[in-house]
Amino acid sequence: MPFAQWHYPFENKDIFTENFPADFIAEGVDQTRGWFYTLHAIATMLFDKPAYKNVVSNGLVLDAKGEKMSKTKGNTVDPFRVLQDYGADSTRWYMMSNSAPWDNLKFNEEGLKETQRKFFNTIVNTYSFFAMYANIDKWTYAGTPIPYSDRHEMDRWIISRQFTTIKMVDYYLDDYDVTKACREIEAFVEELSNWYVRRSRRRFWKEGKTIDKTAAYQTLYECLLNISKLISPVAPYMGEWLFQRLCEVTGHDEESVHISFYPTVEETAINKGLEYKMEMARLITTIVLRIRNQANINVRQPLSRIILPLNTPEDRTAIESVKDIILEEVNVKAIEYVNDDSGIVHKSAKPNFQVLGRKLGGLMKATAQKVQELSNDEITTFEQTGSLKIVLDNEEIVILESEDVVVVRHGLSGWSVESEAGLTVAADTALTPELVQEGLAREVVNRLQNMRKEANFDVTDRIMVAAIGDDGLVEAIKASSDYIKSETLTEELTFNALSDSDYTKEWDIDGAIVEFSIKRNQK
Amino acid sequence: MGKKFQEVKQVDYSKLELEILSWWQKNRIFEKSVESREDGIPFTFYEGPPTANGKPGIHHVMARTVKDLFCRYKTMKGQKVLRKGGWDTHGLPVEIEIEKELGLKGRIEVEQFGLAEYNARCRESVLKYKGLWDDLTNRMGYWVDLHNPYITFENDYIESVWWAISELYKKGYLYKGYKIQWYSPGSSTVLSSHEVSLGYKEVQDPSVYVKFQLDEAEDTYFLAWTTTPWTLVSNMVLAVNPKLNYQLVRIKDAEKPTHYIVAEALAAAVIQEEYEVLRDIKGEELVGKTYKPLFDYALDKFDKSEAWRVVPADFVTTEDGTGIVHIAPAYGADDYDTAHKEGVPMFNPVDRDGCFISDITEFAGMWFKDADKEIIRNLKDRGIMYKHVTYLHNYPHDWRKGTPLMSYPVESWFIRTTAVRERMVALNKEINWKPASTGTGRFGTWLENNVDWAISRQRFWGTPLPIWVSDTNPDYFECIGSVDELRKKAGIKKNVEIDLHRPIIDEITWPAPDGGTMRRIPD
Repeated sequence: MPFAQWHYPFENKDIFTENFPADFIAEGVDQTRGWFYTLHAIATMLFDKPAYKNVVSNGLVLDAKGEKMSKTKGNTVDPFRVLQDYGADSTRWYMMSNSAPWDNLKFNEEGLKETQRKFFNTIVNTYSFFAMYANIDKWTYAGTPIPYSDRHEMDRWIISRQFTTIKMVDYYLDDYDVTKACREIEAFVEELSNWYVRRSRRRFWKEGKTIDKTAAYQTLYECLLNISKLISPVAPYMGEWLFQRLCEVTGHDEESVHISFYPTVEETAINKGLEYKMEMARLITTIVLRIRNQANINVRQPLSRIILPLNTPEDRTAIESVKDIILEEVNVKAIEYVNDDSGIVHKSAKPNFQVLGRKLGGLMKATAQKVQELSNDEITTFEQTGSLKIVLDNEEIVILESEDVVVVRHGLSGWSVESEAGLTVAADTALTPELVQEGLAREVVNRLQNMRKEANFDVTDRIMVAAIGDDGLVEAIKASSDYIKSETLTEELTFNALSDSDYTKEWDIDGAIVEFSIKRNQK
Repeated sequence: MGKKFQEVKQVDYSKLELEILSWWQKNRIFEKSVESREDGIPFTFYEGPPTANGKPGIHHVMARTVKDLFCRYKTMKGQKVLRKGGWDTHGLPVEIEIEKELGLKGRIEVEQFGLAEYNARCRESVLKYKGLWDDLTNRMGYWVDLHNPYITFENDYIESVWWAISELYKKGYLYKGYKIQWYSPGSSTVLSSHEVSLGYKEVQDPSVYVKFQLDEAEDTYFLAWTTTPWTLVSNMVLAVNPKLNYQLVRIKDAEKPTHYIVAEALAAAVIQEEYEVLRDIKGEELVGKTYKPLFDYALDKFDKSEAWRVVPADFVTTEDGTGIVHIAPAYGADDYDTAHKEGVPMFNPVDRDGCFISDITEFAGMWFKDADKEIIRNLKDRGIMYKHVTYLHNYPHDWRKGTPLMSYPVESWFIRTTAVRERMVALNKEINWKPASTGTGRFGTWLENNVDWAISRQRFWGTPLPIWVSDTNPDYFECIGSVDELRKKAGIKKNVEIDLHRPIIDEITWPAPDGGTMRRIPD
């Protein structure tokens, strides 16, 4: 009882008065008739007030199969073992983000592992990336922050996303909906790692100090610092860890993340238009990568073009402004636009027999034939209006609705087509000799970069490379030597054996055998 | 200056957390997080205290993560969040544990063992796993003040509860009533549900169908079924389900006109003679019809108009019996609740030793079970026994003595929560429930169907009710609201410690105004 815990009214009148009613309580749903009711009944009778303003009643923790845990069934889980094996934060984050706390949780250790791998490892890896390059550049956030408006578009995008995330997380936590808050943070961490950092790597790699590079460091630092704060209510340890790692160098902020203040929103830094077009870029990238996957063409092989059926000029302008990002991400030479997807997609329709059979009975066969004869344009109209009138040969009229018909899309020859979230993308998957040549060069760069890592070279080390093997491949390497050299920090590329290489490895690139040797140059 | 960001490859999360945990403790980070918000707006959280005589489970990690995260979040938003830990130390689980440990079975053995020693053992055991709980609290990163927790067995806590009860008394909410419990007349003691479960035996009992003659037509009877004929002396009403269908039937070829009313679904099974259905009747049409009492004894105490009518009850089914249920409010929890709702009094002519009192001349002094056959004979002689067979079923017995138990009215103390039902419902609407459906559903429905709150627990180790009753006038009682008040009443000096538990508390008495002695109620 809240009054009894303070020995009210015999002592602590001030403390009790200041702390009644509670802003928040939380217990299992089994306390509906226990703690929740006791508090409510007594507060009503003694104080004519509710005892609490917000209450979370959490559900049961079931085993992975959804069975109740019990000692007799032997399916209970030892909390100490779980905390030891996975850490408290993975456990806490998993429990809060997996499903709303008031739903029953099917406790599955695979889920815990995934939380650790996908979420916490991503945070650690992003921090590691930052730490490694910041140390190389001796960057410690010594200067004042560069105004957002002077930063790179990529910076402004992630900053906008950061403030949108802070805004949403604050909104959800204020409403005691922790699961939605967690999902916002997860999405932001993913964007920071898989889009911002990946797209900005070259800015960190560049030698020397530039304003642009400082802006990149500041942006990544700020995002990481805010992540440390955003996650710390649910993941108090990792929040503290990240906060300490950042602040022990910069000296910014409080002694502990838990004494620091939750991030606040800078509304003026939120740019919805920028967020939208970047989202489009990410969506198109996702679709093209899926097309590549299905066509079995890896991303190092350039493609000539993709076609986007976009009707509004606004969407085209949005995509034009992030065009370079898309082209680079998906390794495509050009984007073309068309008004709708009728030119690049061949559609065919067939009846949904399960639904229609029940509806039409004897007319089924005649209708099926008409449906299969529908033209591309007719199908497009049907998709837009959601209904279709069919006149059968015996002059009977049948009205079809969306669920009655299955539309199948085929790419035109040489084209692959995929759709997601209302957007269709077609990719020209025909390969010219030039494209193949370029693809090979990228394969070579990829192998050499792997070798640099395997040989434990520093990311800034300059190297010498020797390539010996398949004639065709060697010719291709010669043709792209400038590109290969600049991508791999190679100062000299030779086709004779090196007398004293640091590391040699043989590769099979699309069936062509080649041996690379690399050697670190003196600094 | 010259500081570097710590570079990490792989993280051992568990190890990292333990390092942070000890850093938090060494640097008093939790305390500082509260102190640094000294001037902040209080955010109040009440900890529902766990019971520390059992080990914590994985579901506790779930509930406590929810508690912890919002308290941390609000701290980071600048609020002052006091978090007092607590321990629930009273109640049945503790008693069961100790009885197991001491090899005691049931209330009588506990009393023989000695309450002082018994309660001392309980006090020791309640914090048996406190160390384990503290470990879990620390390890999972749940920040709550473990150093100054409230403990429900402490005098200060109990005194505040006494204050609350006495306030409720002053407001007129406290009253003495009855609660129907499993009672062993063989050993004059109330049994816990655990004890009841120990004593189920298969026995042959009479199964009788009795004719209750309607006041409005002397050739028409309700047929009701019971396996406890001894309770028929205390019949006060008959219950029907208003939603069920009933039938008025006429017996063919009867010596004199005879009509019965039974549930439609059971008519064929119950009625032995050939009959014809005269009319279908909805249960709700039967409600309010009056009938002749089987015995006149209760009429000495109550007016005919106070009872002996048909009342509605949802628990009536057509699974067995006749669809018309004989209600003896003194001898069944459902019976009592049904009568209570209808304002019908109970009639209890069986003493605590299980024998009929002398007022019941035909069965005076008879053991309740022995009265069964006498009552059956009596009803047969009077022609109102419709059918009598025997019935094999499981019935609870005193597990020590082997004698049958009875559902019996035991004096109990209640808080009249029904007086504030509407207010509780209204105030509940001000609470933000997560999920909202629990607030409107489970909790809301519970409030709407509120019944008075029985606070008697019949515990040895529990918060003793601060109620003293005169031993010469059971209707005179005093409710004590503080230790000081108790001292004044009983003339106990300030320097004498009083443990507010049994048996000490039971030894405190004072003269009643009517010349008797004020003694504490047995809870």
